[in-house]
Amino acid sequence: MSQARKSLPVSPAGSIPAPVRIREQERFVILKKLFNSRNGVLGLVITLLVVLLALIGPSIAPYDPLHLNLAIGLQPPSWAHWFGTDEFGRDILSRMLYGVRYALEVGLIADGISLVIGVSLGLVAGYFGGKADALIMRFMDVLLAFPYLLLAMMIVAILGPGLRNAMIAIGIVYIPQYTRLVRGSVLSVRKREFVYASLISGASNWRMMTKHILRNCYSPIIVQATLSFGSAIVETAGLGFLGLGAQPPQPEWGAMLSTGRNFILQAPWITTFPGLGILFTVIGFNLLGDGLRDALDPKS
Amino acid sequence: MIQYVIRRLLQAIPVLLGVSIVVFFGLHVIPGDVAQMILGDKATPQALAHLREQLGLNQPMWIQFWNFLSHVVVGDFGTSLRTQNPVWQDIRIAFPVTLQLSILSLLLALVVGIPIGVRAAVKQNGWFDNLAMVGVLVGISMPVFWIGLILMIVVGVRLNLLPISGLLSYTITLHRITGMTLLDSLLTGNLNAFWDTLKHLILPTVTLGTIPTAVIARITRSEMLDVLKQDYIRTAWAKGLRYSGVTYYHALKNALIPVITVCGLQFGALLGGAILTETVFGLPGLGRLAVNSILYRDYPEVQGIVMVSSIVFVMVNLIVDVLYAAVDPRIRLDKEVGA
Repeated sequence: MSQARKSLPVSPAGSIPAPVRIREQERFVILKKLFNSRNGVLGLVITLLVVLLALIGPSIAPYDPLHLNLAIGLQPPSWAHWFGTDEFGRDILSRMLYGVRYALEVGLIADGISLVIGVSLGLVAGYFGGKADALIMRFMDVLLAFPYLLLAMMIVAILGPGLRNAMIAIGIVYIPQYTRLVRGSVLSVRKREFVYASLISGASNWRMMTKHILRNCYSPIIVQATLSFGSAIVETAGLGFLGLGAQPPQPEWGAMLSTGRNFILQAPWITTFPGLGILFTVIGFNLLGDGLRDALDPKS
Repeated sequence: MIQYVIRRLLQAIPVLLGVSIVVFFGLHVIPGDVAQMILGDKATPQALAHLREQLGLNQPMWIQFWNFLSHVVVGDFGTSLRTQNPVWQDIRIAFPVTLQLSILSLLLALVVGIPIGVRAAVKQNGWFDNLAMVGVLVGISMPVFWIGLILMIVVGVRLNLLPISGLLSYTITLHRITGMTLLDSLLTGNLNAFWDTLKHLILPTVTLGTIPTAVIARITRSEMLDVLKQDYIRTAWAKGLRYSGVTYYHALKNALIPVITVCGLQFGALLGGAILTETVFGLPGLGRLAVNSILYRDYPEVQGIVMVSSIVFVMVNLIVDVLYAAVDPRIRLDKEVGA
């Protein structure tokens, strides 16, 4: 505690303003900006549609995604099977609809791991400074020195192939992005007057970090989390494609692409639709992230 | 400037030491017996003992690490459990393939991405800008391996325009000098091989280059929009300079500085993307080697590949930093004053 307090410079200002919070009015302005942005609205609509499909997908799926029927294997798209069937006669549309849940689960867990760990480390590094900062940031430099997919592959090699481990691997790979971002934000926020005010009023380090500093770093974190969500889906699908992520017969889009690759000449629809699913989902999150960035940017 | 380069080189040493610690201990924290994992449940005690001896697993951890480090410094990563070749030899064959692909993709990204970004900025909110930004969004959001598969289906199979796998047709022989087929065919004057390998590389290059192209177009547009608002650009227009003079000479020169940084960051992404691209197109590069090593649990080879890739990535970023400082003296002076 003392280390952090010593490291905080003395406020040059005499007046102590009230702690800054995002007031209701400011929230309204942000939402209004988001709804005024064409990209933001489109991103929000796509994202909500994806979430809706994840919720109701299994109920509206016409077939069991794991049901094998070799007699109808590799059928092109038709009225009976809108997206065709795979080599085992499984309905691609049904597998796609079940796969939406996997995609969102991957985004939530992988992005969640990196967000929780990355934000915590960035907060500690930025707030305490000194040795803690040096240690954390040098470790982040080391993580950033690995090509990210190779690092993820190495982590999967350690933990073993599978969807859960692929999500953990992608989560670890994305930690430095959050740590760097939050550390930078904390360094700028902690010099503001309301931080001095709370310091003088005797707030604990925990309260200072969580209640006063972190709350004022939300904007870049929200934007990063939205953009990383899409990236996490793509990267985990990449591991699935390499055979290191989800394993057959799981209807995960990356794994579907991986098995469909073997039938690319006879049945290109097996690879086309899961790829479009990934593309559509990621475009949604990227547009939403861009829209949020513009809405949360005070200069805009 | 020399001082700056030396300082950046020295800063890279602890990072590379950290990388070696992560690589070594990362692959040694695996629960259970590594030898058993590699050889499987049916391995004989003799085979297990031999492998433990070969990998040095009987020694204390810190001695193992010291041995690993002292060997890595001289480029000795041990022997591959899968190919039984020295790891360095496998990497030496595979690395030029990945390097060639990454360089070609980065070149494609620069040649296509920069003009798109410039034109989109100059014609802001016009049809070209809107089209370019939709293209950028789709390019950034597409999985690399899916782009490859789609190109394979459309260009390779349906239109039958280009080969869809390998580096060179079986009927053509090429004397290996650098391992980069394009360069080797030029060095040996084998134009037949040059055209053949170029045709083989078009689809992988477009696949791997799509995302960097989108990223570079986006950053160029954004930087150009900032630069085009500057007073000196208005002055250039007022002087009656031509379109190309204002945009490409006055504006682009200043907008390109952040593009250099993006190129460095994209190189890491390219090394990652190369793993997927090589898998799609069956190219015998470092990425394909990494996937096979991981699936086979060939830990010495995994260690070697990760170490070499990280060293290359750190060095590329170092070169980018130096270039950045060379192009923008403010960076160099800031760091020197800061130090």
